[in-house]
Formats: sequence, C-alpha cells, structure tokens
Amino acid sequence: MTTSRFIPAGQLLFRIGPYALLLPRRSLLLGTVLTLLLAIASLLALGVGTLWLTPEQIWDGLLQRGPAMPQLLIHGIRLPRICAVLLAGAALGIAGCLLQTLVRNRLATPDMVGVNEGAALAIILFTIQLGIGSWPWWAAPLGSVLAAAALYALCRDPGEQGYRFVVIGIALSELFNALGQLAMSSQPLVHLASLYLWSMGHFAGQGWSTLQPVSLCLLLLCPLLIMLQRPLTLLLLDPASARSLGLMMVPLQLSVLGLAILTAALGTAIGGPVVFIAMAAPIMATSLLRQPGAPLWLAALCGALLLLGSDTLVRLLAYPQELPTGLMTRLLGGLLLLGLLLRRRPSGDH
Amino acid sequence: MLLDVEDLHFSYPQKTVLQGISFQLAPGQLVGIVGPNGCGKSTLLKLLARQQIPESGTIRLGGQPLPLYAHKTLARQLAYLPQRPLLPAGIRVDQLVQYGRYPHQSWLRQWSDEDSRLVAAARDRLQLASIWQQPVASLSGGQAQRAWLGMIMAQDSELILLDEPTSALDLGHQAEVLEAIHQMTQLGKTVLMVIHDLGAAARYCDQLLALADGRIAAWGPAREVINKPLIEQLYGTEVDILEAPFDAAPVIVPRRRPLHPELMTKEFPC
Repeated sequence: MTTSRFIPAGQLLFRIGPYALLLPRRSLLLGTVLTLLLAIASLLALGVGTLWLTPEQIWDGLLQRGPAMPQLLIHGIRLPRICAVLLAGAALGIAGCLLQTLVRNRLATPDMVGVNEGAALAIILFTIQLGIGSWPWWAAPLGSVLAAAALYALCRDPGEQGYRFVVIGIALSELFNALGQLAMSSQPLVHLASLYLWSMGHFAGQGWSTLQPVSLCLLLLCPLLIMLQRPLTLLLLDPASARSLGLMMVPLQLSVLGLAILTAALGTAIGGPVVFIAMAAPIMATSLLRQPGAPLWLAALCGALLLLGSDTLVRLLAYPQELPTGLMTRLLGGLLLLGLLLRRRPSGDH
Repeated sequence: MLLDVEDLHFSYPQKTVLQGISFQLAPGQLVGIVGPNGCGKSTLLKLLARQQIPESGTIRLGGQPLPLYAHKTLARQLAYLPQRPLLPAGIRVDQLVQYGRYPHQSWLRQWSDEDSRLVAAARDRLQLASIWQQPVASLSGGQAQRAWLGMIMAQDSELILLDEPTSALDLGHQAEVLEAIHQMTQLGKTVLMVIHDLGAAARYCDQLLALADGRIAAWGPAREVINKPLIEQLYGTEVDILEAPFDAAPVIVPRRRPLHPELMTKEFPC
C-alpha cells in the first residue's frame, strides 16, 4: 500500500476524467453468479409442471417454433408466471433491504409491519367495488402508503432497535389481513376464488397486462435507488454520526421509507402479500457479501431466486392441485423467523 | 476566531440545561470541557455540532452562523464523535475510516487522490496499519476508539468535537487515545472534547472550559483553571492538588467524604 495511490480494499475504481466510481468486486461477482443461477432456474421452471418439457421443447417454445402445445404452455402460462415471480421477488427483496436498513432491525420488513397487507386490502376492496375481472394494481401503493401512515401515527418513536415499530406493525398487519378476509367473505365465493388465492400469495393467471405497468413503475424507481445506495450504507451508523458525516437525515429517511413502501406495494400487486421473501433476501445478500451495508441489487436477485424456488416447489408438490405460493413462503418464513429469534445476537448486529 | 459562541441557552421540557454560554476559540488548540455530571457538557457539544438547535444565542463557525451551513459543507468543516457511536455490523477498520471521506465525495466522484492521501494519512498517524483489515468489533476498546478517530481524521475538518472519547478506557488505552487526539492538534486541527479525568485534561489540553449548572465556571489555560477552590466548588468535595513528578501536571486527589462523618477515624474500620 503506497501512500500516494490507495484504493479501498475489495473495490474496483473506474475513472473517467474528473469522475470516479467505486464498485465492490465481491458484489459484482455475486451479482453475476446470482444472475446466471436465476437464468438457469428460470429455464428449469419453464420445463417442470403438469407437463414436463425437454430442453429442446423449451427452446423451440421460447422461439415460437415447433408444435403448438409447448408454445402455448410456455407463452400463455409459464413464462408470464415466472416473470411475475421474478418481478415480485426482486421488488420485495429491495423493499425489505430498505426497511431493514432504515429501522436497523432484520424483523422490520414490509410484510411484518403491515405495508404489504395494506396494499392487499386496497386491492381487495377495489376489486370488489369495480367488479371481478378488473385488476386494480394501482390501488396497492395507495393502500401501502395509508398502512405506513397508520403505523407512523401509532408509533412515532421506533423504540429500542425498532422493536416498538415491529410489534405495532405486526398488530396492524393482522388487522388489515382480517379486514381483507371480512370484505371477501361478504361476497359470493364463486366470484372470489382467484382473489382469495391471490390474497394468500399466488402467481397463476397473472398476465402481461399487470406485469407491464408494474415493471415500468419499478424501472422508474431504479434511478432513485441507485442515488440512495451510498447514503443508505451510512444509515447503519447511529443518527448522530450519520448526520455529522453530512447526511440530511429526515429527507433521507423519508425517501428510503417512501421507496420501501412503493416497491413493496408493487411487489404485492403482482402476486399478493407473500411473506418471508422481504426478510430472507437481504439477509441472504448480506451474508453472501460478508460486508456491512445495504446491498439492494443483490437483495433483489436473492428475492427473485427465493420466490422462484418457492413457486416452482409449490407447482411440483401441489400437482395436480393449485396451491398458493404464499403458503410455501409462509412455511419457510416461519422457520427463518424462529431461527432469527432464537439465535443469540452478536454485539453490534442489527 | 474559528468558533464564536454567544449567549447560548438550551432547555429540555423539564429542565434548563444551558443558560448564557459565551466563549471564543482560536484555531489549533486542544480544549477540554469539564464539569460534574449533568452540567450540560454533552448538550453544549451537541449544539456546537448542530445535532440539536439552541433555544437562543448564536454559534458562528469561521464567521458564518451554524444554521446557514449546508449539510455536507458543515461536515467538511466540523466533525463530531458521539459518546457511544453505533457500529455497523461486521465493519472493518479501513471501511470505517473511509466513511470519513463521505462529505468530500459525491455520486460521480466516489474516490479521489485526496481521499486516498487522507485515508492513508489517518491510517499511518493513528497506527492502524496492523489492524487495518480487522473487524472493529473484534478490537480492544482503545483500538476501536482509534479507528473511530481515524474516521474523524479522514473527514479533515477544521473543528473536531469529541464526546468523552476516553470514557470506559483503562489507563493505558486512555493515554493511547489522548496522544492520538493531541496529534490532531499538531496538524493544525482544533479539538473540543468533553472529558471527565481532570488530571488528563490538565495534562493534554491547552484550554479548559469548566461548566457548572449550565454556566461557565472557569475558562482559560488548563493549568490555571485547575485550582483547589474551583474543583471543590464544581464537584462539591474536598480535594488536594499535587504535582506529577514527570511534568508537574496537576494531580487531583479527592479526600474521603464519608456518608456518616461521626464514624470517621484515621484508620477506616472494616
């Protein structure tokens, strides 16, 4: 290490004129590996199900060649479902990473504190109002913002390590869940079968008409997420230290919260309020990275991978029945939550 | 004057903390803030660091009132280390020190030659090279505090505010950290720190600011401020002041103050 030229350990420095970007080597590597894994897993997921397809059939089907049956299966059913799963998983992973960093608590995820349930309740109410067949995905941000506002009004002070925030959030989340079920139970069941499945976290039958606007919205949020990446890392310090390094705490916290709410709502709009992904994905990302920080993009990749795994597992296990993906994530999530709560907290962990 | 404080008042809903603090600070000094528990030392430091807003009074840093500074501009002029800073899980010494460069960077300029120069300088000056890649959580109290000071040093601000940087450290680590702080003033920085140990304060500081009940009780050269009447007034206990054999720094020895004086004998009955 010479004194004159010294680059932070584990980082790659890109210089163009007066500009300089730092990219962590390990997260670039992990990002590439996870993307490859995701591509392989998606291809596998295209092949499995009621009718198993060979690699050739998948390839021909994707390129819209060969017999009509695999083509229809791939383009009409499996591809939209897999895209929906990937999109929702990525959105929930990012949302979880943002909220966990903001509150400095692994339990503080949008599905724990009622943001996802608020979004789901809004969608249920609007679907019932507008009639079955419409899909009011745009109601999700509305519901999640109201849910977050209720949470903020009730708890103001997040409490020691955000526990107050989490506990009140769990109560709210149960409340919204119950209200949603109540609203659905007042309607004739035959009309609501798909909505009911969706409310438990379900990705079948989600078409391009929902995926297109939702993915466009997520894409619009990406520049903001990229801007926030650097200050977000400093949020893991205490507020006083972070402020003295030049962070504008209140605007920063509000924008992190706002982005967490929006990404969580968009993720929920696709496949319903699936739990566990938003909690597990950032944990998986940070433990792979082995560095402090808020790895938003790795959390997105991990979220997509975890949800794709759960969804494919559900499709295999439930065959020939239809089982909501949310049941599988709830099962895995329960185990993870137990593990987190029983684990002895090393000092300085968040 | 680097820092100009005028008639500062501050109170919490139930309690008045500071009433009429005024003083001026020339650059390049090591200044200690001393006083009994609850006299408003930490609060004064928080107001100076703009962590809290005073009720009335003005603080000027380099001639400009504190509220007029933009966040990052202020962070380039003023560094503040709170009493018990929170460590991000798993962070290494080098990463912590690099955090200090944040106010000098932007999204498109994430690393400069100036950054590498100052981070390396902080590493060498604070002797962090041997623990550079280690997690801060695995270090001793003194080493960890040196790592935090490395972050503050890399921030390269004119004024440095430290809240009890040596509390919870043993004798050896305390000396280690105080030497490091003293070194910062050798580089032309101005350091204002809250410190409990009067002997260490008198030995290392150029100036002392003694607070009692939210007012300035004494303000001046360290070895003049430490005198028997003032210490007895501040802490409400009788003391003797000796001279250290090495450098004649004052050594404050409190006399016993038994809860039941009638039981007091020369040899304490066990």
